[in-house]
Amino acid sequence: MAPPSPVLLDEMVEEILIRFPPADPARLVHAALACKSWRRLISRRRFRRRYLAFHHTAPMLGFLCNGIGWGQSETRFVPTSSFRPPRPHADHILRDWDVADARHGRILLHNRSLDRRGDPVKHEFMVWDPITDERRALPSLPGSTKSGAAVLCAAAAGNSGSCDHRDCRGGPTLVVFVGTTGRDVTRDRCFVRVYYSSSSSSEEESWSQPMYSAVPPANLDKIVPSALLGKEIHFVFPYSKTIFKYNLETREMSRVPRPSALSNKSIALMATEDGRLELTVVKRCRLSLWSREDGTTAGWALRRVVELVKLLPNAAFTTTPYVVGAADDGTCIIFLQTDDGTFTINLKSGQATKVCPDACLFPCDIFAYMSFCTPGTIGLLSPYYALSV
Amino acid sequence: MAAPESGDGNNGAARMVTLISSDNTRFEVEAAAASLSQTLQLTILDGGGGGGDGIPLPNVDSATLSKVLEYCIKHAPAAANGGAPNATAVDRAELERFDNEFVNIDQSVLYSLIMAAHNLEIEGLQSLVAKKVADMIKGKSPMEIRRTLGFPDPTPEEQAEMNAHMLEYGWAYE
Repeated sequence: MAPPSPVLLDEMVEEILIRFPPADPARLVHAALACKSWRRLISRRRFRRRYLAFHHTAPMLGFLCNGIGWGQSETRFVPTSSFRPPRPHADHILRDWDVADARHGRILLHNRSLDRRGDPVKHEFMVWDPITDERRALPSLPGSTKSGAAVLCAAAAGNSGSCDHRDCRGGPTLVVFVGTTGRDVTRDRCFVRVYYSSSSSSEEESWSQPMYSAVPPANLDKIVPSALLGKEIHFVFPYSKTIFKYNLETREMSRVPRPSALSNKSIALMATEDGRLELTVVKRCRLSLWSREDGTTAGWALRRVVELVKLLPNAAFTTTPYVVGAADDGTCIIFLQTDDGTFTINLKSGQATKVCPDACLFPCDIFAYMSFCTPGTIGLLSPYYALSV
Repeated sequence: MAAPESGDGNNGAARMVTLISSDNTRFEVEAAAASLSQTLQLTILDGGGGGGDGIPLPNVDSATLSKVLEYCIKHAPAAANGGAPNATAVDRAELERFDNEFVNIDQSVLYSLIMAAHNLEIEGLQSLVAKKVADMIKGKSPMEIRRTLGFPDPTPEEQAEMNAHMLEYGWAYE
């Protein structure tokens, strides 16, 4: 027999719904569709604020990678939760753009036109929010062979107040581009250009003039992933002996030497919860974790060595696993590509999870997408609706 | 056993208070247990509820109140320890076992508990029952959620609205 129809106060319903796990956003959608009063409650700003405070850390909804490593031409959003980007827009975007970075709920997409020699003529960028499907195209930049790019909430630069980055997706955004004037290491130089985008699209916005540095160009041929630590954004260039660093506040560029033993390509940078820069390197079946320590002479200390054979199945070791990315939010999650598919390893818990079964042809960078997705951030239950309630 | 005079419950036997349910049943309980309720805590601190007075609770019937007090009595010692940082693993496991069994109840009782925990502002109990309901509707479609919670079937208009939203959130149904 069906129980009697309950008369639950909004406060009690809120207490119930707030406990739904953020890594399974479909559950909140189902609840929002179950009845009108729940729908209204879930799409309120108040609910979202409380939900974020209750769960604190944004979950990983999926990751992005350029499909080329899998023998595909399309960029992929591989879900690690029940969330899926809205179709068909996402398919369209992922067909036409490469992913360059992802941070603070924003994805930076990149497209470059090449001339006959294969040198880029211009760089185009777009910031995409896969939850709201909001897109902001940036003015294109002249071609530069060697480059890195990062996207982040503008508050991280420290000049527009503080932000915990849990719910800043629609707010002011910074894109940092690092390029070089040419291929000649003796003559050419690195430069940085910054794009600031306010939340209102009506303003005329443009890239800053290039800021040149004495830092010579690193040897790189593609967009590289970045790590944000405090107000400093780091780019690790493969095969290079240094890490490029740009301070968002002082606007100074500098270089951080890599641990002397490491010129490996299988490498990922990340910021830890307690604000240290960490470098993960995989060599053969061994993962070593280096931490930036200012006191030491080399500037780096080896903190931990993890034997991967204890974490991954045998099938993963036909060839050496590659570290291809790291979550940039202090969760200490790294991505490994192996012959048995893609794995995440949580360096805190030591837990390995297979997140994609497809074997890749060659390693390619992975960008974790961490965000809260609650109904009311999209579509009919839109943020505008949430504002008006 | 007669309740000691109110006002000085710090020495000797634990101070008792009396709670009166909506159907006029009297419950005598240790002040420490009743104080898990934020709503009652101030009255009790002021010396209320002792002797023959009793605190009337017009929104809570006797069946629900006895269940609420069962929870409070079990959780009072740990709460008195300030969240029991020095509680042993055995104590914690025992409380967890108690909690699991405690919410293994009829849905109508669960709803009464939700309301009572809300009115009496008993944080731990609120959280426990809310989590239980969240678990009950885990993995269920909107229609199944309605049925589980005993909502009436949707009107045709409501159904149409649900369908429209479901199209929009197609990804949630993959």
